[in-house]
Amino acid sequence: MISGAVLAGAIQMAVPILLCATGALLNDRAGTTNISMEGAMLISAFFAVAGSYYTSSWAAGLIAGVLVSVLLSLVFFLITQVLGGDELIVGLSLSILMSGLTEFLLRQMFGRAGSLFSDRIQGIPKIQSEAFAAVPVLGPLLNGNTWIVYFAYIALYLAYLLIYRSPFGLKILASGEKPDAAATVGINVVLVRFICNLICGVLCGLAGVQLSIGYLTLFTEGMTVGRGFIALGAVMFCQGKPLRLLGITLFFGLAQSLSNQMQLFQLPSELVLVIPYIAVILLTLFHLDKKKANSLSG
Amino acid sequence: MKTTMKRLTFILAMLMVLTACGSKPPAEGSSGSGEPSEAPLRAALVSPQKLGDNGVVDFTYASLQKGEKELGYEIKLIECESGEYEESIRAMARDGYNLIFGLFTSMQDAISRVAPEYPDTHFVLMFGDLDMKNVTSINTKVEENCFLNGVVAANISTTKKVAILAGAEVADNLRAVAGFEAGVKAADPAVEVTHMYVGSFEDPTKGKELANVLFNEGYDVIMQWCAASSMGIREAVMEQGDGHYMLGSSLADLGSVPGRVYSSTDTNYDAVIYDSMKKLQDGTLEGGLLWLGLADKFGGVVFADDYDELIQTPPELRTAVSEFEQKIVSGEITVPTDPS
Amino acid sequence: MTYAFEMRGITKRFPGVTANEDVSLAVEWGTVHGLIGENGAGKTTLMKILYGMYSADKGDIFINGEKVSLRSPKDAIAKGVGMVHQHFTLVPSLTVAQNIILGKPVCKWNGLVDISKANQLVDELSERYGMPVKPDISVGELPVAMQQRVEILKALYLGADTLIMDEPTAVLTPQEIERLLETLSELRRQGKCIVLITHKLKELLSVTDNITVLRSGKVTGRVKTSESSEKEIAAMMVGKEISLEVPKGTFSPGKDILRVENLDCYDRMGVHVLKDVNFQVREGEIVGIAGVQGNGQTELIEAIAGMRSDFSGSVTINGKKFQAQDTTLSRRNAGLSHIPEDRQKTGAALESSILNNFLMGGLKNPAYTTRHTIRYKKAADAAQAQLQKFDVRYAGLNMAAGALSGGNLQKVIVAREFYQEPSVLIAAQPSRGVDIGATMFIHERLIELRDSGKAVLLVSGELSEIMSLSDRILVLYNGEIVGETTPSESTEEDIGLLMAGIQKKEGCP
Repeated sequence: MISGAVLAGAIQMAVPILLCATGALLNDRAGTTNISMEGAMLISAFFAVAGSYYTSSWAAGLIAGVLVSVLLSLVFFLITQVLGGDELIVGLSLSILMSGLTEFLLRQMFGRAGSLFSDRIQGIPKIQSEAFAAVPVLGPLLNGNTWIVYFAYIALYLAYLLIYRSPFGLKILASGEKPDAAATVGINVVLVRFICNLICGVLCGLAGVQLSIGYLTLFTEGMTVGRGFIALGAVMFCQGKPLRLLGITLFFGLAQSLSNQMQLFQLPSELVLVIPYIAVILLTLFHLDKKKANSLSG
Repeated sequence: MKTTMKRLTFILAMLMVLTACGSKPPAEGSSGSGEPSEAPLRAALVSPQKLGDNGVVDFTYASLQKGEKELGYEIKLIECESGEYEESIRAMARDGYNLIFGLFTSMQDAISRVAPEYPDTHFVLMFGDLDMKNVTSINTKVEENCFLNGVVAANISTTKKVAILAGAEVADNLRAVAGFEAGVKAADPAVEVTHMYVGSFEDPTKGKELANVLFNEGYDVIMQWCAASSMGIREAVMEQGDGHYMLGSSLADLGSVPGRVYSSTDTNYDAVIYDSMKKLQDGTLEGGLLWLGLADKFGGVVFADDYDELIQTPPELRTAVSEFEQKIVSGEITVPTDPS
Repeated sequence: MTYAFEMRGITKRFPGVTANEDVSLAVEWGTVHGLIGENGAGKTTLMKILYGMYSADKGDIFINGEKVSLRSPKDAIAKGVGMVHQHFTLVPSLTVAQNIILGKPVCKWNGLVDISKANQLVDELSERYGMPVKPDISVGELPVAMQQRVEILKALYLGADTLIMDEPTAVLTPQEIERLLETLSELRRQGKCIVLITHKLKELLSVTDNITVLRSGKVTGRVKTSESSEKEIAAMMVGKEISLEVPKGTFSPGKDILRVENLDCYDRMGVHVLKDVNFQVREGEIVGIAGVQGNGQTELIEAIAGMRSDFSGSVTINGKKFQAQDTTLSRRNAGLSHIPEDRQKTGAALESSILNNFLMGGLKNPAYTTRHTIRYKKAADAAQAQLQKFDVRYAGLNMAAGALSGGNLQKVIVAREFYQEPSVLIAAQPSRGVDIGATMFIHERLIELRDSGKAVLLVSGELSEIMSLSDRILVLYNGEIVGETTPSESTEEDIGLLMAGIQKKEGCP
């Protein structure tokens, strides 16, 4: 049952969650919790499609999507860090707002409802290379993905380097664990969090872009289906360890991919479709007694 | 100061609760459904799925709009979330709409509760089995159409593995699955047929994933019965290349992916919506349970030839489908409605 | 001569209070300067201005003769000023080395942190200043005294020539305090300038060269340490002559009010923290439990107060026997009151109002409650009266308790516990982090309670407090009572030996 196709699917499906989670990891280590990621992904998915629609170029869509997401993260930052708003409330409100906004814009800008699909939308090209195909075992896994998929995994590694091996990373860790300590050595905690929020914005933007013009070439209302919140959950469970985060997101991807594959076996569909969500619950149970309250404590 | 705020908030909250538990307004019926009237008739379409599904919602709405243009109706479309069905329908009735359409079986409960309170308003339920004086439940024998599509599938498949990808395990989906599988087996018992459920009528990502799973397992023809989720199937079928086909469930599917969509079932929603609007105007709309099928000249399968220059249906296939259609109409074949 | 730093005419106001008013201070290189005053006198504020964390409304600062404007700690650090705070500013999950280089990380060619170089630097530093630490351990695992060393090294790493120490000895044992004072002397010998903020008179007099006394934001005294005395400085702090001795009434104990029998307890890691402890406290008596923090005091108090359920043995209050699972409330109703050792965690709800904190644990008091409701007006009146009696300085009853200074918060807790008119009061570390004036006040109240025929169980790490208040002293070492004596029978040195486990008095179980 675990075939190359399932693994390939897992790696693909994990990508939007992975990108968001990497951004969330940075934020989490720096001491902020950005729950508006779901909204960021959705709005960037929309604008990626819109951008591609008007220019018939995927690059324009990509830039549009990422820019919008960055903008949203700036708004979040402003309201929470500068004006002192509560992160949970602001994040959630922004997510809900984006949901409504995309529906509204869909109707206003395109006169459509539900989905936007058109030949004018250009998707991100998928990479097929012989070099990849030649790789034993993993060959078929590596082909047929957009460059964002590869980037997602590289991004996680870069994030690890940034947080745990670079001087800026020390500042991030101090700002998150003990902002008073950071302030007394002259670290500008607000600036550190600002930069982390920015990076998270970029990554969530890429996640949204991948969803709408990477994997498909269309936008559907609500197409993020809670991935932003799953990413948040993943970051909570990984307790700051990037390797664990990778494992968790791949686990989710695998659960999703498996649940698709299992439909072949004529099991009751509702049961099968619920597998990824059960995976989340199992994860929670495993971590209940080990959970440290140092990050993302409500 | 704090205590004053608390008290104010408490009072406000209580007020809101009291208003929400509002008493029933007096039943506003406008002109009875028995006579044609002078003031413009008003019709509302309440749908649990969004517009843009390239399927039932889009077509019923289009039909509603036709009624507006040609019959002078005032129309309204409500897209609502689960949990809001009863509210929305009641709101339309209370607002004085003469004709209220509810889409899909999930609306049945809501209509069954609201209809008795508004005896002068007429309700039409698409896919349901309410039999009341002011409710018409219209069902289409989708299994017959899907049976025919199944025949097509069996004939065009080279790997002899075909599948139907439906939205969820609910009433009409189940009948579609049953009909499709029966049609495949009737055309060629050697062909393997299976079915999958996307779990949503609005998730193209999932649709694409499942389609790919099927294609990777060697299935080469997939019929879609999952509304907006089928967008994903279109992409999958395009990426998989030649030799992979999708069969549609609405005319909009034809020609959507050049060379890949062979045929589609045709459900004439106009017959339901527009007709009901006309009947109400003429005063001939009655309550009751209706089943529309091939025998009523309702439905069938349309080939893509007129929509897609890459598709050319061989005459033998047309004949085969035609023959099966006759058999269904004459009663020689009864199409199952249960996928077991 | 150039001073290490000079602050002239510093004034700093916060909404509602003037923290510093026209304060001037000049300290020479190679000296240790003591800055003393009650809580809220303005000592920490003044030094935070020097460290760039606040900016003065009026006044100038000169560092090494040069006029400076400090807008943030970064500026102060650049000018060679370092500060070791009362509440540590270390990141627990990072290593010693990482914490030390936090302000100025060392990097490799590729931009990543050079951990081995950092560790090396830390070794060099600790060698130079005589403060051995291991660079690659997480700070969170270090004992408090070690953490403090890391804080000092951190400041020195960033180039501090002037070192400000804010209440450094509050969390140390007597031995650790000695080590610290030695370190400070060494730093002084190397030419550094040190400012020591403290409220402990003894330490102040033992290590400083000069002392500045602050009261209510103003300078009330400047003396050369060698020419002054405890009494003189205390007077300058409080503004009046205060006696450091509290007069006690005659000792005439009555029956047992609190009896602890066969108390035995293991902690979560399986360590035997209380070993068959037995003692009693009688009416009209203060029993002091002496011992270094960590020898079972916390567990003992928790067992008696009902905060812990995993011990064997019994606690009898006013004749009523309590087992492990009996609630705190039932014990309070039997006549027990408790001033907890951690006022911020277990003593008060910092985010709640002063009034609510006052009402805690006394919600059945008929003075302001009927069967089902709290009469807030009556409660507020009662609270106001009691708080006034206990000389608490606060802005309003609805103010958050967390906004109070340490001493005032402690007084609120003491006022609350006294209000319940207990038969026996447990006072755990009652003067920790509390200024001289408030401490004396609390001591007087405890004596008053004892004189009126109630029982007091005093648990404290401050030997002088134990000595001056107790009628009987029990020494707790390693979970066992290793000695029982009275202030007249033994000296502080004798008891100190028992506290360190060196001797065991004959005749003790």
